[in-house]
Amino acid sequence: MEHANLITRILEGDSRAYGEIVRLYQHMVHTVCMRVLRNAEDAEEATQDAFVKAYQNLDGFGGSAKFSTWLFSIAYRTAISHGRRRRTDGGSLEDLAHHPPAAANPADARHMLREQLDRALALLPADDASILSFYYLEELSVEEIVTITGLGASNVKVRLHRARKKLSEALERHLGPEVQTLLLNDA
Amino acid sequence: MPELSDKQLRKLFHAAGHSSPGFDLTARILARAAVTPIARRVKEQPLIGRWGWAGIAGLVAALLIVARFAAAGGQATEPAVPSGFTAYLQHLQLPAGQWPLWAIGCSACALLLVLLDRALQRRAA
Repeated sequence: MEHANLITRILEGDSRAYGEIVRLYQHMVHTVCMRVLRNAEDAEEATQDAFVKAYQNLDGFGGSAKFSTWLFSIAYRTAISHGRRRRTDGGSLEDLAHHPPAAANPADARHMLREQLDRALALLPADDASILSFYYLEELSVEEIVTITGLGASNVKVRLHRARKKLSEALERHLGPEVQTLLLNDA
Repeated sequence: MPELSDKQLRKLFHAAGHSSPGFDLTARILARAAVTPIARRVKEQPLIGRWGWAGIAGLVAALLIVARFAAAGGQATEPAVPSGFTAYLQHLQLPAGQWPLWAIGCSACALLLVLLDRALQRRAA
């Protein structure tokens, strides 16, 4: 079982061991929440909730799936639930396509590239953007995405194909020099 | 621009990387986890244990034996093997014709319980 030693320590009451799990996965979980919620503040709140839920249910992790898949599944569902609650509360989705986040450091090419990708992904439905992230960033298989999202395998494949096409179109429209350089260098 | 290939998209996503949460996120999560109890897994016990099944099997077997003896006692003018047990069954004046139905009913109940047990186990898994 993945992280079996850490999990045993946590279940025995060693909370520092959970700190290691959080440090290992916080960026990935935050990215999943960000893709679904598209708002940094909400994504942080959902990330916290997801990790607390995972901690609470750690004894129920049987090891039949990878730990990361199990954690992503909790994060994805938590983010979806946050998104629903926010819509019920009367809030509106922050449209990254029209209100991109301010760059912390404009010289940071990686940050600019992420901004452009975020803007392009914001034009896609949240589910599709998440599926693209799972597939291309986390390099998860379709089967793992099925486990995380609860969608059918054929549905995931169709969404993946459709999202890839839409993302290409969106990138074409919003393509910055950083992305162009990156893609042109791809031999 | 043509549709981006898998390789190009993978490269693009990896170059952009993960989004960055706030610097104190780990501390905030651990502070919340510290006051959150871990839900302990409840061990799944089968609805009917091994001894329960042995008891049911014994009961069904006993019912079938009783049914056979009662039927024999009701039909035959002279029991083939006159014994104290047969005499006792006759003394009870059991409704001979209904015992097979009782046996079938009990077996059907046991079967339903097995199916319920399996369904609950599958749901819990």
